[in-house]
Amino acid sequence: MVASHQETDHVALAAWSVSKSFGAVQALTKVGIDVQPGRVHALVGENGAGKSTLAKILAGIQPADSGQLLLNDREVEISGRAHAKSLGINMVPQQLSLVHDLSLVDNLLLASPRLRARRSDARAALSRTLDSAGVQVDIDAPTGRLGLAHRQLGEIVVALAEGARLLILDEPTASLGPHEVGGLFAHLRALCAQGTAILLITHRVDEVLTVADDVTVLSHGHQVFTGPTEGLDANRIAHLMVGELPEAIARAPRERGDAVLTLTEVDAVSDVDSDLQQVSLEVRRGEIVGVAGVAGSGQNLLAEVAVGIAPTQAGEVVRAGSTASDASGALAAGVAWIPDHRADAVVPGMSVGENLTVYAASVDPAPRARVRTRFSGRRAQAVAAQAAVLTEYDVRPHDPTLAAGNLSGGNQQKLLVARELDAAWSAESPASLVVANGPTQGMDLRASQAIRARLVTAAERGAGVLVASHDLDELLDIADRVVVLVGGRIADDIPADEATAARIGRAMSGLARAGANS
Amino acid sequence: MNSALWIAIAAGAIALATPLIIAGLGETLVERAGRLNLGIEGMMAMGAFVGIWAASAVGPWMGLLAALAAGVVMAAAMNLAVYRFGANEVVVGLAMTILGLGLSTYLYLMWIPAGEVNRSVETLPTVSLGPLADVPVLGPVLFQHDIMVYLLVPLVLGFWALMRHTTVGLRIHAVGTDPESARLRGVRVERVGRGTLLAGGAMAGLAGGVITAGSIGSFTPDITAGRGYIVLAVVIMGRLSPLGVTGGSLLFALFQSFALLGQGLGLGLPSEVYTTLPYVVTLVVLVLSSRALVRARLAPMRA
Repeated sequence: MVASHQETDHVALAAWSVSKSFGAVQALTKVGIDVQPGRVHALVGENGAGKSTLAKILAGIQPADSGQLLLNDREVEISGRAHAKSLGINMVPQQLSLVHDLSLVDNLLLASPRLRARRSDARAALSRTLDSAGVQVDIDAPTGRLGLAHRQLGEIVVALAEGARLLILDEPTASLGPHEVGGLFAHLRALCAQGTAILLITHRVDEVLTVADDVTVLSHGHQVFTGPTEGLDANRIAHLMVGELPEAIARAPRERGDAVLTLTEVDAVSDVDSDLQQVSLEVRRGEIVGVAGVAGSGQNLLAEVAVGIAPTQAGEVVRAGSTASDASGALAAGVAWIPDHRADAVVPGMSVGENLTVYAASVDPAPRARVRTRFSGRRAQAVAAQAAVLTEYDVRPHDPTLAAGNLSGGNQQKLLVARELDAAWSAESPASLVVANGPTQGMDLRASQAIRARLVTAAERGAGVLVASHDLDELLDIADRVVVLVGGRIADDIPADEATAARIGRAMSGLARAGANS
Repeated sequence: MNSALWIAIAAGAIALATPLIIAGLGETLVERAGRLNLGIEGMMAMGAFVGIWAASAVGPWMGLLAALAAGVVMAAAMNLAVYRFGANEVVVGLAMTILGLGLSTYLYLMWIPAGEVNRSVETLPTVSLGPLADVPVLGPVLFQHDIMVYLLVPLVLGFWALMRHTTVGLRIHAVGTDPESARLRGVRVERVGRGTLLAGGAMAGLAGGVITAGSIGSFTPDITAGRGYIVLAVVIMGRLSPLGVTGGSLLFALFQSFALLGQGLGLGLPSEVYTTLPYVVTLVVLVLSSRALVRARLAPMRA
């Protein structure tokens, strides 16, 4: 089970001319890649470029239609995931695969062929891996209680303990903060130094430049570049991925209205995030306020308090003149809510169209009166109107009758944005407050840019916008003010013209306050 | 003055708890894997009939084995309907209960036509555990039972160890709480689901056999008398743990034993009170225990 005998074995995996189609859709066309031991190979491309498909073929999860795989220069047929694992190839999927209720030790034992759960052996194997990778993770706590960054590391450690010599990581940084990404990359480099081969799937150009030795760029299922990262710069890679980059968002001055969200000395308690302490914050109409902080500093709780779905212990929250603290009250007040887990907001079993109009089912008449009625006409008209919204927000495919769960993650996010910023409201009374928590996480450059532009549009239409994000560039891009949370307190409040990544980063690590005092 | 009667009530409770514990252990596995077997009552009824029928020919031990097999066959049919034909588990389970009750009665009437004298067969021998059986009070309560009761101890411990200390137990837990991740980790989710239901069916069938071939020695239609449903309640009451299920079964059985024998205590209560008591107590304990559970689950969701 533990591959100590493989410690010196190196695994190099190459693919030649691999093609794969799903029905009429050609996902990959004659793509090649060469992953070498001791090197980080980045696989980049937009959402839907075929990165995950190629990764699944390498990991034995899906067979290719044609093409060949070479393991240490010998042709190999990978018959399934278990076979790939036995060859030392293991993939950490994007949605992570640790069973929440079980500890890392028990997760490692899950796939063991023995009947008896030898926890002491598993614990020893994990500790050894932890030591050699220089990682510290609690291996006896249920993984559901670990933070995302630790769960990510835990996933890698379990894969290594299962004998992985080639790790495929599918967008491991999608939900990590900048600090945690740095930590993860340091561990990846340490693993490479021991001869592990790493295939890193990402759509973030900066990550390629930071950590990767080689890079392969996919675009619409075609391989457009492969080679060492040396000599490449961010613009070149981005250009290879998406062609012409969308224009940066213009910063036009917007008129400020009255306050649409006011928090006065709010205390709130959470099991999974820092408790909020004495948080006071005001968001005015037409204003975009960014929220930054190291993961777990209270951003999630602040967003939920702002929307009215998390209870407060003390203090007052007024949103659009209302103090109602429940979901339907928030809806009646015109609050749009984009949560960080879109699973909390998109119903996978309902159709895309139903997801757009779901608020019309509210039992309270007040929110019902507020939500948009343009879909309530005759069925054909309603479907056409919904399809128009989908087209406008580039939700692919633009088919309102499809189950939302069949859309890719990125398209579900676009669907959520389309509903919250547009479809949910009648034209006369658009959303008055938009609370978005990580609105672009897991999205590619172009789609992220589009969502940011939508948030700006919402502010132009007179909404107050509160946006929390791990992506500092995103906040710098659109926010008029950035508040920085440290341990559940507002540590700094930086106007746009003074906001730089360095200043925000310093505040996030808790230095701003110390600096101000000295 | 009534100490002899109280001892009889306590001893009776252990005997009555035995089939509940056996079926409950099986259902614990099923529910841990995130499934539900509403066919327990029917599987117990079929086990009860098949058990006595086989016992009359080849003795009580083979009778128990046949009862177990009857439960497995019904569980396999349920698996086929759910996994192969995509039927709803709840509906199929209820159908299994109706089928088991009806079929066992029908087969019984084929075997012993109405009007003929019911057949009695030899049951498992009662084993007194030597000097332990002579200890006052504890002796007759704990150590003068048929052999199945003593076998419960290794059985309960075995199920506890299965859940806690084997990879099979881990897989069952993983499939029940997080099937998608379990699948990604290489667990064959459907196989675990099918397997636990077969085990649950085997235990339910065996429980039926224990009632007839194990202790009573004869079959009458509807002999399970709703005990399959009580098993479902007891499993929830015992929080899906083998030890909890044992405790819950003993509690119910104690009140049932009291209902059967307690009228001799001369408390002057109407007989309806005695017969409803075990069900009322189960209901109250179930509500209290699930309230705590629901509250713990809801706490993070409260807004």
